[in-house]
Amino acid sequence: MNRSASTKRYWRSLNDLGQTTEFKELMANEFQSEPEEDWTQTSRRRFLQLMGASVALATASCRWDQEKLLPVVSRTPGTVPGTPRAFATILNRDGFAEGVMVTSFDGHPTKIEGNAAHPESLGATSATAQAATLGLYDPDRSRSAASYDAGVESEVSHSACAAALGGIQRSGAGAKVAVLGEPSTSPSLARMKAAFLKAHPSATWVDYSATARNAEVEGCRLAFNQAARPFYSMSNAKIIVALDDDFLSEGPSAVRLTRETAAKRKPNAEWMSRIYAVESNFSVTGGFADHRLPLRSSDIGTFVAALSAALSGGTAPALHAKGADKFLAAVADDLKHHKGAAVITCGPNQPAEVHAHVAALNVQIGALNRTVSYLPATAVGSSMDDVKALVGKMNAGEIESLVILGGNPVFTMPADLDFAAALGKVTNSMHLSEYRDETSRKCSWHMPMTHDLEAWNDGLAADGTRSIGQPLIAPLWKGKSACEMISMMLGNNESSLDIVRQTAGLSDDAWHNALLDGMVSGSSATALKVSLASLPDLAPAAEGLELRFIPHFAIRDGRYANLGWLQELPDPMSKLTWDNAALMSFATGERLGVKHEGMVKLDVNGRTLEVAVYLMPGHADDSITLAYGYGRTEAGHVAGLNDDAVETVGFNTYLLRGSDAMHVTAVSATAASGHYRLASTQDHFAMDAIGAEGTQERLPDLVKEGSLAEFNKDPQFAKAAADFWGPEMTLWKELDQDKVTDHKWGMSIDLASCTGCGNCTIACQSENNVAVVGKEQVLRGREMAWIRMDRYFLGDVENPTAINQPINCAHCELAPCENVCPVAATTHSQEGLNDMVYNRCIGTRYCANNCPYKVRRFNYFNFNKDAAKEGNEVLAMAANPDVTVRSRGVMEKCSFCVQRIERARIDTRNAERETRIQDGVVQVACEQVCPADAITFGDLLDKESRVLKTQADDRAYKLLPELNHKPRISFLARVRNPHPSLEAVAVSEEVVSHG
Amino acid sequence: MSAYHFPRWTDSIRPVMGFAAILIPVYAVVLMAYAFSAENLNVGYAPEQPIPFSHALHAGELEMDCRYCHNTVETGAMAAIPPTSTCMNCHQSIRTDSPLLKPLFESAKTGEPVEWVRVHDLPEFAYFNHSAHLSAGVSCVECHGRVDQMERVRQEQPLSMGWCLECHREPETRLRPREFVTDLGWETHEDRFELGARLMEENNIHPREDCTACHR
Amino acid sequence: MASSTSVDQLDIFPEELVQGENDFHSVTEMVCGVLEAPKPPKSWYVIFTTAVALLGVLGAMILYLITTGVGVWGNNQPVAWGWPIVNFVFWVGIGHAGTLISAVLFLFRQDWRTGINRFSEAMTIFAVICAGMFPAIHVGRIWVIWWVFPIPNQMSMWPNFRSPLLWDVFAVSTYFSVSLLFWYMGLVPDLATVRDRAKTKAKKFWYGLFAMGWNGSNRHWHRYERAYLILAALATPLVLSVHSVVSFDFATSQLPGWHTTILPPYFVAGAIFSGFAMVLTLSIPARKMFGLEELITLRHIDNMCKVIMATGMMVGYAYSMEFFMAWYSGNAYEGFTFVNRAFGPYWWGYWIMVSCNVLTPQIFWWKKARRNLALVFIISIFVNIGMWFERFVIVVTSLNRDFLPSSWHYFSPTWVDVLTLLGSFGLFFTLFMLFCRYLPQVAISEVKNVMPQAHPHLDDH
Repeated sequence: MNRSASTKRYWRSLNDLGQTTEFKELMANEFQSEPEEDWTQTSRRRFLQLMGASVALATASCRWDQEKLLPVVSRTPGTVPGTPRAFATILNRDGFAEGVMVTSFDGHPTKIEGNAAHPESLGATSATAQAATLGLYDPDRSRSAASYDAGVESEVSHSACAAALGGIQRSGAGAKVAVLGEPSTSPSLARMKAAFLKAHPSATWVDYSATARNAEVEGCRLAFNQAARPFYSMSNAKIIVALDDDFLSEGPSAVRLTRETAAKRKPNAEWMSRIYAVESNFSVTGGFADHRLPLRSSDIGTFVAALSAALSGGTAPALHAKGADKFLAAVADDLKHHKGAAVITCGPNQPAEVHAHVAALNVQIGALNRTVSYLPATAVGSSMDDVKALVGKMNAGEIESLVILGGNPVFTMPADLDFAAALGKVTNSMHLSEYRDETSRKCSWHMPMTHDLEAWNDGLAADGTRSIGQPLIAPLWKGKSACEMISMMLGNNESSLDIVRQTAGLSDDAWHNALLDGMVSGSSATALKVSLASLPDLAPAAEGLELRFIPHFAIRDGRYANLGWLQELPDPMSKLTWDNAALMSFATGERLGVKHEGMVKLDVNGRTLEVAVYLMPGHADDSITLAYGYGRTEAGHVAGLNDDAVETVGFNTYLLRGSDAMHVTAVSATAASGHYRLASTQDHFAMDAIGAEGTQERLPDLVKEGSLAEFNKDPQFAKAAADFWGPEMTLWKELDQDKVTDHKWGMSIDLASCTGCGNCTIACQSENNVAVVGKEQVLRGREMAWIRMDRYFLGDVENPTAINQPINCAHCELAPCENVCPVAATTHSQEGLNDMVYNRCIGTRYCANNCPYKVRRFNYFNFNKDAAKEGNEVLAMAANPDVTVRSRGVMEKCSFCVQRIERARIDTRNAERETRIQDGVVQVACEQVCPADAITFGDLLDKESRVLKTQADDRAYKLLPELNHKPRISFLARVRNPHPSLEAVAVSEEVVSHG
Repeated sequence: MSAYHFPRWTDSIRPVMGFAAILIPVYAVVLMAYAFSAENLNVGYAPEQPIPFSHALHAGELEMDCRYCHNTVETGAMAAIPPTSTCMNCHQSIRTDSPLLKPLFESAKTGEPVEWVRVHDLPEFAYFNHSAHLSAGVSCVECHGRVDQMERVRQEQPLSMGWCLECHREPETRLRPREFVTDLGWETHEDRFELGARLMEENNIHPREDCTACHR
Repeated sequence: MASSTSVDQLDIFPEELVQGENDFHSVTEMVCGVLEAPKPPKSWYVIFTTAVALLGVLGAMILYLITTGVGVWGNNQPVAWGWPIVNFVFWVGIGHAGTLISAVLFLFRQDWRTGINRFSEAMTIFAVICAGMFPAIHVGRIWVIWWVFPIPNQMSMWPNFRSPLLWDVFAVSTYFSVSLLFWYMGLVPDLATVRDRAKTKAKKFWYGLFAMGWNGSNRHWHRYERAYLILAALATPLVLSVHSVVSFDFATSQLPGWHTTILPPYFVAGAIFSGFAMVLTLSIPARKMFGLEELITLRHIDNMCKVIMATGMMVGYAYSMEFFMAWYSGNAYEGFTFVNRAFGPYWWGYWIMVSCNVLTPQIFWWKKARRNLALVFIISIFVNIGMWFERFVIVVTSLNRDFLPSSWHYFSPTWVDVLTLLGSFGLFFTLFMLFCRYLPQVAISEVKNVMPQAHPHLDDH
């Protein structure tokens, strides 16, 4: 005891030595232990006696901040803190329901996956769905109701806002009330709408969306005398003809159609489909097709006429496009020989007449109810006349109260209607919206709207399946769903649950199952019985320059503009990020005298806009493609918030869009002055002759391609030339994995299936907390994508073929990055993973230099500091808790979703003492999201694993084998199925490259 | 001449200087490796808690099983601190008047959690999973010590990376039959090393030293 | 010897290493005069203040870098190493001449080295300081850079001894410490001289302290010679090793353009090349500024020019050899890289390199050129520029276009890159100017050794 007494004295003396606050803390922290503790036992004391003075030094870094542990007061049964659970729900995409499975961590959603049971998801999702979590936690979302007086914003309580609604219903005179909604498939919304119109019979109700696919429906009306929409199914389609239709990435069925189409592209299967694409802009479908004909959108009608003439005789109108006749002949030939096993699809940009004629053709080639069926029309927007009528009333001051349910009409309405001005004439207008956007600021009231993951909702999938969506989290900012809003307008404040539940009208059990599945199983729509009406001939298109409007593939009509993930997701074909541009062919560019990244002035009936030019290989001549959705002024701190001095991103192309020609219009274009830097993730700089030549020489070795004929001649053609370098020897002693471990992880990527949509990139971003870097950094070449989609053009500039190749870390068995790291921050795991340890990395970037695939990404700045900003805390909830968020100065790269592997391992061991993880239990994010099923991940030691089978495939080849890295990723060569009369593009042709 | 020569006394410090030349770098290294080591900075950390909860009483005298309160330890990554409700299972009838338990009853009443102070604190980039270790047969005591004898919870082990690796490299002596993992006082006549080796064989346990076993 | 030269100029009758009417005393006067002068020449102030200003800029840049992130530089994907590594190799290269001149030439008994060795050794040390700075600041997290040293730690982690970067750490630090030692060794007798002549107490004390009680006794000289010889022997292999190891950073990687066995000799030759160039760049103005023309004579300069020409041609040979191997190896990627270097987006860098390093030194075939100070000075500058671009070409053009065309990307530096490079020159010249002012620039004792007076019977050859 006197020992410890002496210690005490000793301590005081030492205390005098180091009079630092930390030192006092140490005293406070560490020496209050039980008196009976024998100090002589602790190494600390001996050390102090040894070198006393340094203790002050040591204690200076003694302990980090004290952490508090706040256990819940009572835990929900069945929940285990830190253990994720999955719930089925739906997301709204252009009015249709997208079935998803949402991963929820401790009560908040973190990751979106496809719902395997859902007929339109089949386990995969669209890119926009992946970004839903980011949208939910977007700090820029409106956090309270607001009122606007002459543009001056003031936050108000919900009740105040609701009171204004009360005004609406009291105002009785329904004629003065109008509702502007969005086309939707939601049965609940339809029911509420009906209820509202019953209460206010004379009220005006208009549904408007920039992306509505009305032409399809109108086309069917012409062809069959009834409103319907085509529903394609590619499982039996041996011949697919896509007319100005990017069905692999656009439309409510894109995910399913990609799955079905890709499944029929296996050369060793019993049959392989052949795809023709006729389109003006180079689309994902065009890149995936065996044959592609660049043609002005306006000329599609002519093509259809010519095609029907070729099929059933008659005089075929002339097609001016180069090689069109040959192409047409081949198509006609194939269609003739594949009656009942072919389909013609027609894009939403085509006028009703063309849709009608295509429908007729489909009937003619026996596609009806085999490859295409016609379902009841849904999610149809009001006709342009109705929209105009509403705006007319507003201008005439006949509308006192206008309620806008979602959407952003001020931004998305046709320019000539000048909706903003009309809105100014409405005394009492309210906007229900997630953001206080352009429209909100022009209304007198704003009410925060719930995110899809915050409220109960329902909707129909593209095939008509009744889908139920459950909230994953309580509304973060007290938002209301559209249904709840209408209910408020009707004076009875039902909750979204009551509304949806009542609409569903299911028994408790059925309801319960519906929630588990995310849908009412077997509720898909039955095909309509259709009979052809006689059709007037198609009028030939006018000559001259055309302008096409298409929704941006990721941010749609602009509603997702503020989601950085989608902004930085490169366009599948142009690889453009953070911008939209005027896409045109090299020839057209030359004719107009504009350069790539130059400016062009577009003039549509006096409405003018200056847009940056992107010269697109394979774009049809005399045609300019403009994506809309960009140019937001009040979107948020990502896409532009002019009030807060955040620059607008991209060009607002709605300014050119007129109510008379919403999709394709005549335009006059003149070169404008100025240079505009477009942040493309590939071909960053004008490629010189040497670069282009070099690319051309090596491409055949990098992306192996062959025709079906070549494949049948030599199924292993992809393996040829691989061993040109002869046997390789290694300096290192290789680890014999089979002996030391249970697993040997590997991946294979089937280039024949990959459409290049890029969903893998964003799924990975969501799963692995990959940072968004912004346009400036992309221009510098510092994008962080762990899996990127490489896109090469092959052939002449006018009509090249496109090749896609997803590239992520190959986890080489002899990884060159590992040897060169001075601190062993990247090492090889026994299971063959190339581990990257952020907390060990000091950032010499040597590994990145030495990686032949250049898949390593460096945090040049702290790209996550936004989340630390005041008010952005909510952003942190979007991060995956299983993955470290990287700060500046460290390297990162694909980890083969190691967090999923580890979770699976632990679960397996905990559960049934079984130590092997079964095949398919671990699905990596990119594999899971891939609509084309092109990526397979698994255990190469498992003789039954799918990945082993695919790697053993004839087409399997390794990238850069001569370097002897032994990559764990195998690519399966792409095989095309060209029509004999149209020779496949020889790989040796000149490679297109451009700035 | 004096300009040429150093004063005499300098001769005497020559050996000292030589000695210092060697000692100073050694001292620096030792300081690095030892003074800043977790053994010195963390072991023995025993902060005061809002409620002077005694494991010695509950786990020791009353012999409550660890898993009664930390019930997620076998299934989840965390051995979650029990929710107020768990405590209230007993304390709504026991010691309801104790002033020491005031914060607990407050919490039960208001629904505000009790603010416990974290003792065993791993960095965020280290993904430790309790269930994995328990199912392998690593007892609580290996990392937390004889909690059942602690009046106030104290950090017994450094919990440093090096310390973790020690066990991952030679797990035998730390393994025991699964059923005894929460029996902190458990002892066996068998040689721990042989027992451990046998258990590793039986349950195919090979602790991983791969970086991603803990860092993701 | 190309040009016709009069007999007495032929090297068999070498001109005196010390020109003019000089005896031992006057030499001492000449050298010590510089640091005993109450004020340095005006030009000294000009250069020194500019240098200090630039040093300030360097400080600011480093501060900005560390607080903001490596992104303030132009480095990107795929060019993860940009200017900082270029500068590193550049400075290490310059740091070569010193030890070569002092050690290697000493072992080869090249008397003419005496005039310039002190000079170049100092330069070496300062250059290596500049060099060492860059790898340190170019890492992403400088606050944990100590992980590259094998220090026991709670992570139970050692550095990765397979990494060439780690070899670098050891090679450069060894080279630095030995050079420093070597330099200081040589200084001791001269420091004693200065000490003995010193007027003020402070000078007496400080010079005295570092002279370590040198009294020029026979025993001292004996040991001095012995130690000097040993250090020279130690230093010699380092001359080869350090830049070879630096070249391993590139040679051991598998990037086309880096992955070649020629790199070590090529780097060493280049290093000597640039080193001598820098010695000239410094000595030509310095000898004028401090009136040392009679010690650092035209013959010295002449000889250095010859070395430059020789090494310049070695470098040229290496350039051509790289091309040959690229073609001969049949490796498509290697081949492309070199065509790309010469004619790709960075063609200008390549041709600056070739014209500065291979073409301009050719003029030294002519003795007139070798003895035209202005011309020599200009060419030495050219060589410095050329050698910086050599490193730029190696680092950037190999990285910006490697295997997969999809990841090709143009590299362009930022203003921070530029100012950091300038700043490093600030650091270099600050140190060098201080050296010129406060330490004997010429090895007095050694110069005396090679003076005729040092050899009895000097008149019979």
